[in-house]
Amino acid sequence: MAKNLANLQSQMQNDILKRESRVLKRFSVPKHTTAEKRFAVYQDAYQIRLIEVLSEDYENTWKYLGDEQFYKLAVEYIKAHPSDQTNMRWFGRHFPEFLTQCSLSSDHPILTEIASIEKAIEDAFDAVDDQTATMENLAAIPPEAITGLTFKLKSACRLLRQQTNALDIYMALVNEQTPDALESFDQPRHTLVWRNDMMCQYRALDAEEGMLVDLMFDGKDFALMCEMAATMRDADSAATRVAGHITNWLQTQVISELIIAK
Amino acid sequence: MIDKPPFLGFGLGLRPQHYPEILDAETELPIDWFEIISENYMVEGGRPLQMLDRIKERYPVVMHGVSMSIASTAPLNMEYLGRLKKLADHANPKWISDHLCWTGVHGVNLHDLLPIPYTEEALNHVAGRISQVQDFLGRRIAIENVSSYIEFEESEMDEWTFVAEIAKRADCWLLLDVNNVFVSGQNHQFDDGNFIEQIPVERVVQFHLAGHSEGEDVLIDTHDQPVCDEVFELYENALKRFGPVSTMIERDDNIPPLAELLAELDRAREIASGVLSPEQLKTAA
Repeated sequence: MAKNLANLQSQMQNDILKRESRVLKRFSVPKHTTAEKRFAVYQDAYQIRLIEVLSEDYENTWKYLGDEQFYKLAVEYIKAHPSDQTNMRWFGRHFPEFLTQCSLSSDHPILTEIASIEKAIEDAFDAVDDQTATMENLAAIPPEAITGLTFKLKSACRLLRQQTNALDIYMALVNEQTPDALESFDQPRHTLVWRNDMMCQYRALDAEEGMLVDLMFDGKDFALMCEMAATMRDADSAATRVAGHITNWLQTQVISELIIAK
Repeated sequence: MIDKPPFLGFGLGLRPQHYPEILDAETELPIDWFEIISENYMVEGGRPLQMLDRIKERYPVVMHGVSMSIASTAPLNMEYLGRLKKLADHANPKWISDHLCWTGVHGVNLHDLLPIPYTEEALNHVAGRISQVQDFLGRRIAIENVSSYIEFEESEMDEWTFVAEIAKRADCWLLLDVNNVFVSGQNHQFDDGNFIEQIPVERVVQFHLAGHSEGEDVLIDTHDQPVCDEVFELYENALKRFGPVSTMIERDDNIPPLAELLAELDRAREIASGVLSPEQLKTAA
């Protein structure tokens, strides 16, 4: 074990993270400058780099909050979650959850919900390239197996349940428009995020489709999906409505696999 | 050195902003090869790997990492190395490189290329770790000199002596970042020409050319500016010493249109053609 080196690295890291200066005496710099000034390059870079990553990954949360508030939250987040990732891409993965807990933002669930949309899109971007189920696959399912059919969603799929009009606000921010006023709902709104031909996509789901996607995530079969759809709207057309959704999901690359019950 | 990797010519760092221009180009672009940032492609799937697959069909690729933390006293991150190896199996790079630096200890990553003191203790430590990584990856890796803003009271040798000795003890390649030599030379008031003269010719497989920014009493390695005249002059001196070495422009921020980087690459080509013979400039790619 390189004891001196280990001790130096611990001191340097501590002083970068906490902006302290105990390690300065171990540095040597030219006469025209000071160790403080030179070490500050590393201390400044740490925070600047991570704030930059957060502002790229959560660009619309930043737009909604404004520079000053976002900066304050970013600094708090960096203190609470020093990076342990080899790729900065994942540094901000706790940010939506942090926003629910941080005293600066915990009264504003809209922030967590906008950030959750941005995180879901980031996650979908480089999720596993799993197979895509097609209409041809569906056509090949024996009729007697349809009722017991279950569906594996693609790895990129995320279903968000949100209590506010976060999606509308997010879309306005993306399009550089003035967002609507904040609205809160008693029943959660569903947003589906997924990847279609390498493009990340998202859309609001109505209550029935949201429930059906939830059931698919839980591995429930076609028969149960129809049964539950029948409780929400017209019972006679429930199977047709579910079949329509399945067609749409297959055509937009939401489903990875059609699984016949054994 | 019997198996030194081939001279690839003149390349660029692959950046997502340029994917369409590169892949949709109707005429062949004057780019001989690409360097990818390893970590950006160590992902499960999606567009990054799809783009990489299309690029590697048409161009030689090398992998350049920023998170190996080879000079850290924290244990080697075997999970990271496993993913690096998996990417190498996929990308089939001509070589893999990372920096002579540490990025964190105690489970933290500071996402910076932090310098170390040039001591016998550090030499033994780092050379041992490079050997371990090379054994794990089943290939020699290239180690890059970094820019630094501080030096250490406890250093026992010059940076160039340390770099040369690391290459010898670990039996690894070197990636000579000409901008980093210039930046550190200015920051620590050493002779950058002498640095280059002290680096063993047979170890150097790649040159980086990049831009930097001026801070208060310090040059900072920002990669957000064009390569400056002084760095091109140092590059010319390096070519005189090292001969044909795969050269690339490394731009990471304030990324300009591809044409601007191609113009910088042309300047590197022109300089090389003034120093090297047409025979020396033939690529093996």
